[in-house]
Amino acid sequence: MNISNFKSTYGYIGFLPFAFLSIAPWIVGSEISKIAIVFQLAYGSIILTFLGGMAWGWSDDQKNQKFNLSIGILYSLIGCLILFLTYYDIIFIALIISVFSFQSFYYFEKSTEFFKFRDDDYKKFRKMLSLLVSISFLISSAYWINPYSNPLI
Amino acid sequence: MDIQRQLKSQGAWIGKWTFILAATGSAVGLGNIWGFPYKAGTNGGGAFVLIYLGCILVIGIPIMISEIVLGRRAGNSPINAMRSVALESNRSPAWQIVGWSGIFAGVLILSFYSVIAGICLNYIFISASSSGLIASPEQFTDVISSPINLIFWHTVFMILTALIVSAGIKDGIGRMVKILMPLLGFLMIFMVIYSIINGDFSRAVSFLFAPDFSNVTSDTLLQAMGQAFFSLSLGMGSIMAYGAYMPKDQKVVSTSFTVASLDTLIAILAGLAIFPIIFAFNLEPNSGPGLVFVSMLSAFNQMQFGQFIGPLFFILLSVAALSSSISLLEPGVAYLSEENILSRRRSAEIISFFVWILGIGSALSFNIWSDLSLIGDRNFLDSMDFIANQILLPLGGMLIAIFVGWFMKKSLIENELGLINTYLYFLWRFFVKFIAPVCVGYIFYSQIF
Repeated sequence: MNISNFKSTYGYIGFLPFAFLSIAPWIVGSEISKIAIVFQLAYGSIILTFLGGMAWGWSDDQKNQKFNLSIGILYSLIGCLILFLTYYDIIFIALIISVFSFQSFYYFEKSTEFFKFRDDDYKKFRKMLSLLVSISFLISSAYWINPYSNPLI
Repeated sequence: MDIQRQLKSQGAWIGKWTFILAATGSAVGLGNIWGFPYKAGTNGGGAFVLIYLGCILVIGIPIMISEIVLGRRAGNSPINAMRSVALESNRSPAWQIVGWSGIFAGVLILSFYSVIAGICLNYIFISASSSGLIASPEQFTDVISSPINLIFWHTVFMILTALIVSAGIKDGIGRMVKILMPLLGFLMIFMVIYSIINGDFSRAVSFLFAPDFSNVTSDTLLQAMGQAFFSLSLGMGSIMAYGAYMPKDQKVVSTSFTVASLDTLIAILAGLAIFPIIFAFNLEPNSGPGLVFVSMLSAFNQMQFGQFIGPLFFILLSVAALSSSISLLEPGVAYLSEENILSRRRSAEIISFFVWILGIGSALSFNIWSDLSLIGDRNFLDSMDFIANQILLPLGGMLIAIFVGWFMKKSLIENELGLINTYLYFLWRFFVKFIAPVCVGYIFYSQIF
């Protein structure tokens, strides 16, 4: 297995908790649904913080690397913000921020020189993974605002 | 050789996705949208879905592969395809009867399908202008009790179908499926998103997927087998006719899996779009016209933005119906034009006119001919349905599996399938030789007796 396939395999395994935690509330319902969404947000915030840290591993001689480092830190801070919002039960806002953060991080990464030199498999994998994670947060957001399933109603 | 030249003049699909979209469009029809979700929900939910997927693997996909192999090998309409492959395999040309039966079934199905699809077209406007003052059951009765109304919309639908088919493979069907299928996908996803946000989605998910094996009986198995066979448009020559235009370098097996997966996905999405709305308005889940023309209209009348969501839903149904109807007309048109009996355009016009005449009988079955019995106590529409769906399709499907499994030359099959995994090949051969004919025969037997 080459390194790109290895990365994508790990990436998709890492997506499984997102998929499980976004579908479980619709099937299980009740109090557990809220716990599942909180876990999804917590897991998402860890991943987002990790993604932000990736900027530190990119080559220092690439164009705009100083800017990239700052943006990377911003995403790590957004990860902390999501945890903070979740802790204070501002779940819906946390979910929406997660949707936009994962998608926008992909566009940020895509704009870097680091990304341009990656192989096509990696590029496809990053695009697909970002989309799937964003969809999983959208599904959870729908659960939260749905009048028949919202755990707060 | 003459026929081969004719085929080239009729064209071929451009790109591998055109065949997939066309075959999926043929398979995805009203039955997927108003039949599958209810069957799944009332026959054990997730348990039914699992059995259905099993039936798709052992019946649906093997017969679909067989039809594509036959169509692409000959590059002709189903009648000529069966005849030429039978001759190549040193068998009797009488096997062409399978092609005739498919075309005949397609014409009969299209005759009443067009009437029902016409009602879907009519409901686009009804749901957009409905004030809710007339209850949906009365609204439906009003629609079907007017012969003029039904015949008018049946005519509109048949004209649309004939126009697309007469324009040819590349400029007609190929171009339209590239518009219709993404539109169907977009509308379906929009409806599902709407239902996720506003409908009782949890209850619908539970209705459709919570496995209840206590509800699984021999009848469940029969229903799943029937759904797997009928939902893929098998036995009527449509897939064979479309297969004739399939590029030689396209992989038959993986393409069949893709078509079957998309067909199943759309059926499941239909359930996730419809049932959350039904449950949200405390309506009883059911199937068929009652579900879409009565229950759904009732829900649209009550919901916010119903006059916007309702028409979108009926556009979705009409698109699904249109993508299927063109595949019902194509085999007959392809035969007449490749035999040089008529031009493609003229063939489409003549067959559509014949279908239109038959369809009038089905339209009248809803009102002034409702008491007229044709076969047993079946009215005109039910009789057409009985001949086509209960006799010709299972018979056609069974004979296709028997021909490919037992009589078609092995080298021809291997040539069409190309390089595939040996185990997969033997598995397919086993299913198409033994399992599929027996299962389809069982469906045939159970429907007749």
